[in-house]
This record gives sequence, C-alpha cells and structure tokens, in this order.
Amino acid sequence: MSESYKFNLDEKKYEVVISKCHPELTILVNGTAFAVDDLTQISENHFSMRINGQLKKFWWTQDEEAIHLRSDGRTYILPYLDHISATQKVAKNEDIIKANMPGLVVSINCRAGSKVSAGDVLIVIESMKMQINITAPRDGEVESVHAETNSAFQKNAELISLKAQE
Amino acid sequence: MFKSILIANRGEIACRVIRTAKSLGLRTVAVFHHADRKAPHVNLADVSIQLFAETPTAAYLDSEQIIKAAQSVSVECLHPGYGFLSENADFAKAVEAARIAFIGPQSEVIKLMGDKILSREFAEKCGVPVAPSVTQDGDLSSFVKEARKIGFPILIKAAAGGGGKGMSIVHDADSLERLAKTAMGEAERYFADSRIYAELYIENPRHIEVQVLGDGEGNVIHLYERECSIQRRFQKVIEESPAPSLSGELRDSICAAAVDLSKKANYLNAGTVEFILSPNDDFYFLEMNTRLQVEHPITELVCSVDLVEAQLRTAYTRKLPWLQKEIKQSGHAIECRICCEEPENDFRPATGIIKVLATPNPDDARFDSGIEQGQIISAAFDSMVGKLICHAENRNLATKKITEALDELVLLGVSSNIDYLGRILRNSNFAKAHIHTGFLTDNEGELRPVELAEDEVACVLLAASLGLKDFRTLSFDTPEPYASIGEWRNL
Repeated sequence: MSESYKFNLDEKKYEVVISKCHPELTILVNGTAFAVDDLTQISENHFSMRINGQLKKFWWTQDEEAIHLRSDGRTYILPYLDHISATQKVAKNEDIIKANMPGLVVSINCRAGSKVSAGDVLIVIESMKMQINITAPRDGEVESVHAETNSAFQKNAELISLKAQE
Repeated sequence: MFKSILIANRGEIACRVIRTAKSLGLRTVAVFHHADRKAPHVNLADVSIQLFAETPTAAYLDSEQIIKAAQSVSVECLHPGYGFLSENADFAKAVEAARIAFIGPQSEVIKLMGDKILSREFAEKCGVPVAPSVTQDGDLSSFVKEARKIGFPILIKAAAGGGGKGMSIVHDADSLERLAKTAMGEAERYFADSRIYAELYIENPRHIEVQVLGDGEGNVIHLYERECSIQRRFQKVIEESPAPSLSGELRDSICAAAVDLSKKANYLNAGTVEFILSPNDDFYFLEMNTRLQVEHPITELVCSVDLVEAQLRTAYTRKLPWLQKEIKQSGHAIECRICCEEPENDFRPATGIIKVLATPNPDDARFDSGIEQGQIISAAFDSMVGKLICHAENRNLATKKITEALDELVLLGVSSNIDYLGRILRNSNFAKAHIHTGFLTDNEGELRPVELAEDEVACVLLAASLGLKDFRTLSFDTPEPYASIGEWRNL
C-alpha cells in the first residue's frame, strides 16, 4: 500500500509520501525527508505544526477543484491531481462505494464485518498508473466486499458496501 | 436627528452606513436583489425590502422601485452610498420630490459635477487650475486639429465618463484620430453620450483629492487630502492620508482650491475634489465626486471623525458639525481595497465561494466589508468586497501595521488581491513614497511573486497534505506495528 499524494504547485508536480510515523512522523517531499510534529488544529480551518522543529501556522480548506492554503502571508491554490479528487468525491452518506474510474484492485484492507471510521482506507486501486486510496465516507460496518485483489473493474463498479444506517 | 434611513446600496458601503445610522438610533432599511438575500447588509438592517429586476445590478439602479420601497416604510432620509444611483441627479431630485431627504448634494450640483466638460468650465471660472484641454462637440476633424495644439501625450476621456471607461492616452499625432473615434464609440456605448474631450496628459502624475463638507449655504470646510496614486486601469488600489512628501504650502493651496470650488457651487454635504499633481508640483482640477468615496475611512482615522455621521447631521441640521480649525490631521492612515480578482491574470474578476474568512484583530486594523464566510462571490457585482484600513503615528509605522494586518487576513476559496497588496506595501519604491499613477505598471516586475525556496515549497506541500483528513489519519492513527516499519508500501 502506498501513501503517495501528488500535487501541482505553480505548474510543477510534487509527490508527498508518508515515510514513517514512529518514533516521529517523517514525510518525504519529492524524496527529501521532513520531520513533522505538534500538528494542532487551532480551529476548523486553522492548523499549526513543527517542520524540522520550526513552527508553522496555516489556514486550509478545499473545494471540488483544489486545496486552498494560506501561510506566512501567502495564498496558494493547489489543483487536485486525480488521486485526491477521486478519494474526496465519494458522497458522505452513501452505503455503496463505487469506482470513479476503471482500474485494478491493488489491496483490500477490510472484510465483511470490519468496523470502519470515516477516512479509513478500505481499498487501494490503481488507475491511470496511479495508486488511489478509496476511503470510508462515514463511520460504519462493512457489509460486503465486491472486489478481489488483482482483479480489474469498470467505472462505477461497486467495490464495497457498508451496512445501511438505522 | 432623522429617525429612519434607507440605504440604496449593497456590500461594504451599505454595511458601513447602517453601522453609523444604528449607532445614532435610526431605524435602518436595506434593499436587496434576490442574489443578495443572504448578504450581510440584509441581515444587519432592521428592515429589508426586496427589489425585483432581471439582473442584480438593474435592481440597485431602479430608482422608481427604490423610492417606492422608501415610501412604503416611511423613511425620513436616503443614503445612496457610492456607485449605482449615488451620482444620478434625477434620482436625487426624485427622492427629494418624494419628501425624503437625500444624503448628498443638491441635484443640480450633482448634474454640474457629473459632466466632465461643464465641471471643468466651472472650475476654471472659480479660478481653480485646469489642464489645457479641447472639447469635441460634433466635428471630429476640428477636434483633432485643436487637440494637436495641446502637445503630446494627450489623455482622451468621455465627457460623461468615469471608472476609466472611454479613456485612452494618445502618444502621437498619427493615432489621435483613430483613438478619438474609439473613445467616442465607447463613450456612446457606456454613457449614451459620445462627447469626448482631450487634455494634456501629465506623465507620472499623482492623484490627490480633498474631502470637503458643505452646508449648502456657501459654508464649506475641508478634511484634508488623500493620496490615491496607486491605481490599476484608472482604479484606485491603495490610498493614504496625508499625501506623503507634500509641502505644507502645497497642501494648503490644494485644500483651499477645493474649498473655493465647493463654496462657489454652494455645495451641500460630503464631496471630494480630485486633482492631478505634476512632478513639478503644479496641480490641476480633475473632477468632483458628489458622494462619499470608497476611501473615506482614511480621512476618518486621520481626522478622528465619522463622515457618515457628519453627512447625516449636515443633512438634518443644514449646519456644519465642525469649524475648520477643529479639524486636525494626526498620524497616517493607509487603506487597501480587497478585491476578488486575479492580479496575475490582468486583474480578471474571480468568482466562487468564500470558504474561509478570518480577519485581523479589530484593535489593529479596521475591516469594512460586505462579506462573510460561506458567501458566494458572483460576477454580478464589483470585485471589491472589502477594505482594510490601518492608522499609526507615521507612514512607516502605518505601512508596517497594514502589511502585518494583510498577512493576518485570510480569504480562501476565491482568488483575491491580498498577496498582491502585500507585495506593493513591501516594495522599496512604495516605502520611499516614489509613487505616481503609473506605479503599478512601472514596478510590474518587482511586484510579481518571489519564487519559493525549496524548503518553503515543502512547507506548503506538507500543509496541503496534512489539511487532508485521510492524510492525517494515516500519519497519526496508523496502528503498530505498521507505523514504525516505514516504507510499508510492499506489505
């Protein structure tokens, strides 16, 4: 399973990878390692963190097209590459998780009966040469998994269904 | 004092007027188009009346409907704000005819000052300096012939114009006729009045304006000057007061000229006389705006006054609230106009939803706005959504203060000029007050964003990632033993 996030900033492509979480969170940006700690959510859209020991505050939000960020008096708009938009576009209260595009199942991280929380990676797919995390749209219990590792699927194929909420 | 008021406007200026009116105990009435039904000015007012029109702008320009609305709730006075109907003489007349006090000058003064040619002639008669000029009234060839005599460059303007429409700079005789024709066409389209005029174009001029207040009986005071030279496409971006490096003598003569002109017009209520100041300190009358200006807060901070209150008191009592000697300039104030636009894309207006809005501490900066988080910014209205204003002991400190306040201002979801304004304020030529109306064009290169260093890029990307909930979940909630193995992609 790969945790690779790709971004466009000023028309250049960057890749952010979680390298390890312990003893300290280490994240690679285009291969360079940064130690991140003290991530604090000051308010809904306001965060602070230490990067290699240095305190950074930032404001963050997202819409359908991009991540919007403000830090040190500068504003950034980072348009999504397919990875993020694909995982974020799942409707919040849906029971059936479908594929937004055709692809191949790389790994399955849950089975029928698994208790999941919103944001949990349920299944990793590969599409257009990118690995994409499919996350749980809400807290709940997995009812069934309709896919198999290494199997191909079409667009809008049902991958996982969650138990309907009362 | 009046007991009730209708504000015939929207956005930040409607909110601004409502605030003062409420503090004086007036019942406030807002008008709005459907597109603005959730706008702050509607919530802020005691009563809101919907206007119906095919387009949102048309609603705020519908004088008949607005006057009917005012009558339906029996308000005693009407504040037009700026833009829309604020300088429409017929509207002012109709408001007065409906026995509602119009917060502004007499309709005939609005008409006189609204005509660029008549107002120049009036200024000339009052002994106020005007730049050499030629007016076109029908015959294009004689206009071209006369205009050549002024010398180049020449500025061509629409007689009925404003906001930079129908304006162009002519550098040589060859392009004069062609550009004059274009200007006439634009003037006809925008103002339904094809008359244009040409005047000597002063290179690297400064834009200095004077705030005046009159009682309609020939008594006029001034509240000193504002420097509005930082402009893009003839629209102001940053204003400040006092004007930097202006000698006391020059300041006095400019203010005296503004007062003279306003006295001769029997000017009533608040107005602004605009001048062009040449690099060798000659000043020329530009125009008079017969309304409250966008940039009025810098005067309020430097002179410690509330201009909306002064407008209401003057309209009610027909007496000036202050003597000239009571008005003193203290410290320095700077205003930045916050616009939803793309400065890197020729200032193209930007639209979208304001997803995050966070403003600086009100003790440090005044933020006059008509926006709130969640609001839709559409292409229906002007791109200016608010103003950030700071006051300090001197220009350096005021610049520092507003730069910091701009850094604190957060508007996410729609592109804005906030970063661009920050770059202007940090520019060394701005710090040295080497400013003129061509400042933004002349310093274009230096005003582009500085490329980020590698570690700054990394910070941005880390922030972008960690804002994502699933990225945080993976970073912090990954159960052992996976978390410490690292590079767990091949599990």
